[in-house]
Amino acid sequence: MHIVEVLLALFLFAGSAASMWSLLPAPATESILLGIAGMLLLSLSIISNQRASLYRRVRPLVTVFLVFNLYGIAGKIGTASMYGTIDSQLQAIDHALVGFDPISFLQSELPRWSYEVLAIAYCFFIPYIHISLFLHLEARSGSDRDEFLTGLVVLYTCSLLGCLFLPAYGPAAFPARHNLLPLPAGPFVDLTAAGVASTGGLYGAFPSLHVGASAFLCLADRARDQLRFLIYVPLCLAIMVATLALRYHYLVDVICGASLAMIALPLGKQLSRRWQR
Amino acid sequence: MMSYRVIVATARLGLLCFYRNVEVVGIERLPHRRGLLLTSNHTNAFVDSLLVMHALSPRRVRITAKAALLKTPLLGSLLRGAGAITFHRREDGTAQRSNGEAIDAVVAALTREEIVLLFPEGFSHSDGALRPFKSGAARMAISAAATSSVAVVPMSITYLDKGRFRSDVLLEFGPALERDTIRSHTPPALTGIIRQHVENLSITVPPSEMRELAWVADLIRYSLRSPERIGTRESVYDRVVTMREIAALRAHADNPAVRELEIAAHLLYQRAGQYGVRPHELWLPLSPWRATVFVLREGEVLIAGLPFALWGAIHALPSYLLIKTAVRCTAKDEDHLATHAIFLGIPLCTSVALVQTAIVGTVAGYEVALLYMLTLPFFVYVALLYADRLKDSLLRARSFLGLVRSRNGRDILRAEVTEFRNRVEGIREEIKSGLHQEIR
Repeated sequence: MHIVEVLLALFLFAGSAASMWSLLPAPATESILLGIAGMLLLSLSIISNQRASLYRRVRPLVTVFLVFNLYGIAGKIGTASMYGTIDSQLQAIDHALVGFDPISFLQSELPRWSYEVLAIAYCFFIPYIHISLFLHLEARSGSDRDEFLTGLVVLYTCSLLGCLFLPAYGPAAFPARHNLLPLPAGPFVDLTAAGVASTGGLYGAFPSLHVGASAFLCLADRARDQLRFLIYVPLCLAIMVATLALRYHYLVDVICGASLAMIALPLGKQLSRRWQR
Repeated sequence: MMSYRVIVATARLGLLCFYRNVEVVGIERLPHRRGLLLTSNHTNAFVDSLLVMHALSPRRVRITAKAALLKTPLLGSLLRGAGAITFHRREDGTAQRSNGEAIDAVVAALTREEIVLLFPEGFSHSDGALRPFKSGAARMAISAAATSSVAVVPMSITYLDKGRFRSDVLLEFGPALERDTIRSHTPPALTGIIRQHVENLSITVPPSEMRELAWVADLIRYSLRSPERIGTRESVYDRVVTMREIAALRAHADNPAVRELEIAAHLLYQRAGQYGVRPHELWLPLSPWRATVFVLREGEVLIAGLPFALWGAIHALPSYLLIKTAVRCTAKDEDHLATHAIFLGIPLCTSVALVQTAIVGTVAGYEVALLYMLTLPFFVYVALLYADRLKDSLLRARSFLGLVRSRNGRDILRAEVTEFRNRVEGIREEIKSGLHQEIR
């Protein structure tokens, strides 16, 4: 990797983290956002010139930065500006799929200690996707990298369309509908709740990008690094259960997220090859 | 058919645990909806048959075996369940009986468009070179070709270290000999053709020399290029092809240039050993960035995978020790190490797993025992992959440190290897053009 890529990646990550997690006072955050905008413009100018030597290096990082940040923007726009949310419809679909409310069912079946374990898995999502993305972008080159990125963009695009046009808050926003009691308190349960609050609260439940992104990256390892794939299958399964147990998603969100992940990888490959022709 | 599928599925578990890579090449060349007589070299007893059954699954393969094996308790049942066709051999001390029924069974199977696996040498051995082929395969093929569209498919099974746990295997199917070819030759002539084809696909050196051959092959293949990332599945076929070419070169031992090359290879082996460098890692990139990424990538996998691997290793340990003891007691020679390990491994592992599950069930209840039983194969498999990965990572780190510590030595070694490779290419061309001139 070129030193410019490393610096850009660090800057983008730090800027995103600072702005989204509100770690710094407002003026500093605004400066960082301005800085991000400036780097973005610079990056766009570089990537628009395909003959630039940094084109191949900068493009993946800018792509990842854009899809990550668009998720937050699209989710908030969807819930704020659409006619209403589809939470009740998603709840009805869940009931039609399994014959009962899976959220209430998990509340009655899961022992109290399991919520902390699932919250730990949920927290692992962020480091997992960042490390996985880094490893995949570093290990792949040329058309292989393009195919991977295209698959990622397909996944995020479909998910963002869902967030925009089929907005939902998730079960946690409607505790009465599911007869929900408060979650057992614990350091990681509280951390996930704080994390969700700091990124703007509940939005963009359908489809589940937590499940989609983690499943996509896990499946991307399947052909390239079998051990890594097997190690992270339990984490991905735990994330699926965690999103339900912690009430951030409906069962249909999880199913759609996982399905999108399975489709995105081969579709990304096909699209990338077609465009290269 | 049900018992055949069960045997193949069970054998597959054993094979994938024992061997790290089982690669199959040329399977797309196999004709469909025709009788096929597969003729193969035979160096690893019953494992050869299991590998072919696994490779061709879901297509059913009629294996052949010596009749004496039917008397052994477990193997006899397996052979009967798999529908094996058995032949009597004079060497087994059985009474002189005609193999007429067996021959008719093979011909009938070929006529019914089944696949039959035959080992024309008649023995499993570790000679390296192929033994003379018996003419039975040719005769049966000619008989079947009289009434049906049968093909003979020469194939080879190459083990990089057949008795070693977690080594690699290659199954290679050659181009089929069609009906016209079969019918236009006499049995001795056809036997010679089949033998030549199988020999072309085989590495005819003794197993004791395979490791050195693989070493030289890696030296040549990875000359001037970086090794693959750890965790990537390397092509066994590419390695075996290079080994075959070098083995063919070594066959010209009367050529002084070839003898010099052997000495040079020995010296390079010693020099590389001094630095602790593996042959395919001589051109390892030595930049700090690549080293950092290596540490991050391997460290992440090894740390994240440690709990799974430990769990799998602890629970597989009783089975492993039991199998090791059983193989030491029962396997008389290296030829039968893998066969006994896989063969005994399956029932022993299953029994130990059931006992462990029962203990868990007694202590923690039925549901936990069910979960334990269902997840145990996953954890054991992760433990196997983890052990391979840990070993590769440590050896790669050792190669890296060896290269970094002595830059002058590294550059000299690289230059010598490049020269060695060029000399190998040069001598190959010379021998090839020499052969062409002889033919003319």
